[in-house]
Amino acid sequence: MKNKNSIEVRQSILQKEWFWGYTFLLPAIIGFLIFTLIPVSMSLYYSLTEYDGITKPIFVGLDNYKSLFKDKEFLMTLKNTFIFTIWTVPVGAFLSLICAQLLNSKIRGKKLYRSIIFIPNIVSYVAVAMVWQWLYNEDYGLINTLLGNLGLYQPPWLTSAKWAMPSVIIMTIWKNLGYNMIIFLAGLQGIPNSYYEAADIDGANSFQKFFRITIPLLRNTTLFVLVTSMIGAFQTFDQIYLLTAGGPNRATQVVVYLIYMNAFQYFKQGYASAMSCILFAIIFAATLLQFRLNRDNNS
Amino acid sequence: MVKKVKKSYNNSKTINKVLIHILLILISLAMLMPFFFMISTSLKSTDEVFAIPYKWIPEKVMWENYVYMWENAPWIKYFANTAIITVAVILGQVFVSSMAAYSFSRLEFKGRDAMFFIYLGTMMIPFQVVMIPTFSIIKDLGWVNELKSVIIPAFFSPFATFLLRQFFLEIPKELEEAAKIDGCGYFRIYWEIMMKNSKPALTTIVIFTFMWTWNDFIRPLIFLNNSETWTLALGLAKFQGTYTTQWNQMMAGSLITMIPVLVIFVLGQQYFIQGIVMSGIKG
Amino acid sequence: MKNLLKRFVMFAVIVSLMVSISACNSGNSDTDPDKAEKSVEENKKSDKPVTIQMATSGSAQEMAIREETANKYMEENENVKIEWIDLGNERFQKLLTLISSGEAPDILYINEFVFAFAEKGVLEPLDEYIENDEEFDLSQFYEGLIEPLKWEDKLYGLPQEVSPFVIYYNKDMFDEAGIPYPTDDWTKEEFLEIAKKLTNPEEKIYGYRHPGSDWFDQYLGWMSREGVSFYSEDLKSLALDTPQTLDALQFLNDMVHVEKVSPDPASIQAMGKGFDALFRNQKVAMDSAGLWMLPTYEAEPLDFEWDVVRMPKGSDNQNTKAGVLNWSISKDSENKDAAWDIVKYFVGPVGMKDVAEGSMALPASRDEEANNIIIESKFPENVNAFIESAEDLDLSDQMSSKRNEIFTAIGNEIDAMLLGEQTPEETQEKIVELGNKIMNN
Repeated sequence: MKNKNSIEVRQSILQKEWFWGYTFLLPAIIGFLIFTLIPVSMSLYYSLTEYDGITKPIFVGLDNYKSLFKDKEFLMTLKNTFIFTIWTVPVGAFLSLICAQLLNSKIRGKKLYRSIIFIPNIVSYVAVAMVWQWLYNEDYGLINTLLGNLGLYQPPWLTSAKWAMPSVIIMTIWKNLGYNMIIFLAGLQGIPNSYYEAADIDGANSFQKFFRITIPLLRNTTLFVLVTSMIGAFQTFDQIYLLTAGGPNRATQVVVYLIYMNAFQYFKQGYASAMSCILFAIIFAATLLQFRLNRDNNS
Repeated sequence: MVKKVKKSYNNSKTINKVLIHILLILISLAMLMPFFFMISTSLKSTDEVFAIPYKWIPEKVMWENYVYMWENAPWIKYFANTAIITVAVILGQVFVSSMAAYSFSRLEFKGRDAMFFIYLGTMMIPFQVVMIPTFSIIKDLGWVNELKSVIIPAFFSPFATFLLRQFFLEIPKELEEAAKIDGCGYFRIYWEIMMKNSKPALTTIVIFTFMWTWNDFIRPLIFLNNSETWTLALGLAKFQGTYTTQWNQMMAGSLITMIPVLVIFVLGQQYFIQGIVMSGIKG
Repeated sequence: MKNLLKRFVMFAVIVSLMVSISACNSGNSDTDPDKAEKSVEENKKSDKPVTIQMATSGSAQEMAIREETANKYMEENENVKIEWIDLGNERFQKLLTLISSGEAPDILYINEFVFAFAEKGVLEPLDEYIENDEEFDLSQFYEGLIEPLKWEDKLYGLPQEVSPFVIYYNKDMFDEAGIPYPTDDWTKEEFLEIAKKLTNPEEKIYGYRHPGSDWFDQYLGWMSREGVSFYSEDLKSLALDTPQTLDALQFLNDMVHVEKVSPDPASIQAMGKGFDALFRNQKVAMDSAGLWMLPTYEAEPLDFEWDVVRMPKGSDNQNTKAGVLNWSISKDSENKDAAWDIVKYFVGPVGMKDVAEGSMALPASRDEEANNIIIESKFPENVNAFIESAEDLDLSDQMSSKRNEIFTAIGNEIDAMLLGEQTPEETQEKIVELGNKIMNN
């Protein structure tokens, strides 16, 4: 009797969706607990301490956060990061989508084009930075030589505070174009041909098809691209570290660069942790907002 | 009448195609630039690397840069280490992420979305700030200077989970319902419906994970100690001295180590085929 | 159903495996202090095999020099194995992480941070080892190198190599302008005059290249030669509110902003990786660097005649900054005696000879045999300038754990000045204010 009951219970558990929900999540949860939760909790704690990375952290409450909101350099750095994100994410996503759309048609050589557009992504930032430093060179660079030949204005790209950020933004969009294009391409595979065929019969042109079919049906993919690009943009480090080192005159200094400097050059792990907590809060809020907007659009 | 319309339609289509090709060729040139640059640099003498004005074609082609590059490090060892790490990470990541993505996208249970956002939050923390605590954990696990220190933590990728979740969401509910009626359990639905219908997304993950793991620099540098366990990306950094860098050899090395990533990309492309999901429905 | 069960079992096995891996490993992580002590005792007594972890960094060529010495040592001491901990090109990041997690290698590779790490209490003082060792002679090292390795009167590191800054100059460009070659006793006024004559703004040719201020050593050198001492006597505050500091700022300003004998720091920064590109391409006549340019210039000779000369005398002295490599022993090392023995070997005659033969830096000691290798190389002609500069080193800027933060902030202000955004007076005011704020924090 008892035995029969337990079998029933077990069977019913096996039929419960929540049980399977957790089961499928189990490996991810274990990994999360070990490799994320512990380090992040420690870092959260460090943000409340004065900690040089070596000697015992001293608890200082919210002091780090208080000084951060008064720290002009940090606030300026936040602003730079916002500017960088606002430009690279939407523009980058839009251009990638166009490329994906072009290369999803029956165009000849599309595989070759795709591979070529993907190449900058494979190349390490060390090499990329070297190329662009030369391209951007005010006196000898290829871009200014071309502009000069055309009789156009030759911007002092990396050498002026005004042009340095646009330079970094252009390079970043260029490098990530192929990456988002691939995600969009994968997304485009899920759109049934029959929709386009139906639209053809209705006499819709390419633009109408693009805006009425492709964009709405790519909603989930687009959300993914926007969210992940935004998270990446807020955490930009490599290209700044290698291309401009935050200069000239801190015009391209972004948050993670400042975090790196504080954590590993200034012996200020605590302060760096506080910065990354603020950065985390900003990214998290922006991500939630994007999900919310996406849901509103759905309904 | 109908014929005429069709003809002009075809004409404008051809013009469109030509325009698209011109556009694509221009884009391609811009994209190939670093590639040309790397090839050119890899064949230059140090003197010419920084010649002003820049030279696209080296005056003296130095094939021996590739020889020096080869002699500079135990590349075969690095290649083996990198290959082991990359393959293991891809397998583990696809396995863990797809299961989590299935759960996050298709199963209803309490706290699901909150857990998803928390998991996604993992991506939002800069590595620089969790590096020291993460290394402490690796040390406590006894994994320092072992390949698994780089492999196992990489299984838990919110990026891959998020990507698959978005794709699983697109798979029509009808497929799942039909499978349930046929008596399929959750594992079969996960495997037969979700996984088999997400090849473009899985391919994307394989390509990206391959690329990232292959090129990953900071994690291997911190967790792995010397040439016994080092990877290609770390080997390339050995062209950088305290004050000077052997750019020509570094570019030669970079080009060689890029090849596998390009191959994976080209191979992966064949899975970008229209209409996989829909063929499932029809069948 | 069977299929499903099979998959589930497989899944469960994998999960439990993962859990058990992490569980059992974390069990052994605690190091047993008793055991550690015991092993130290045992090592002293016998020739039991020991493995010493030694940190290293730099390019494959630099690594080869270290390996050379290590191999000789291991041949002589068969019970010792040196295991490399390569810090790659992110030296500081990895070292800090290792130390922070209690995984510090026995022997640390530290360049400019010995003082800072000593202050944080992670290094072993070496005084006792030196006293107990009759052969060891500390006075063979250049005094300027030893100074920043001391914290509260104890010595925490020993130098392996040093690369003092000198001026590389293009003889052809001097000839063309009809200017006699500079000599080691020249002054900064003479230097500036010469640089002016060699500058041709229309063709974007400059007399000198003053690198951007993110390379601290470059501006710190000019300050030191004016007689600036960076910190107060007790090392607790900055001492930059002096007339000497203003003189140095004024000179930098004259050189870059007023006379424009050097490209401005933003253009230099934008040149990026090709930092000797201007010199190679004869766009600048004089460039300041250490010995690290020599191996490339030897392998691929430049298209013009060149030589080196000491940095010009300032109003106060002819001090020089330098790139350095120091060894320290970790306080947590379980084999300090063995580690000391290795360090001693590296900074002794054998290690110094290997440095000299590597020709990427000077030996950090006055070891005659090693230095003769450099002198006899006659590459370049006035190679002696390096050795003489080593007698006038000033590395005292390293004597604060806040060094990087302070000099990054100061460098930013100096760059702003060189770009014409503020006067030397304003710059000094800001430097003093910023610097003191950081020091007192």
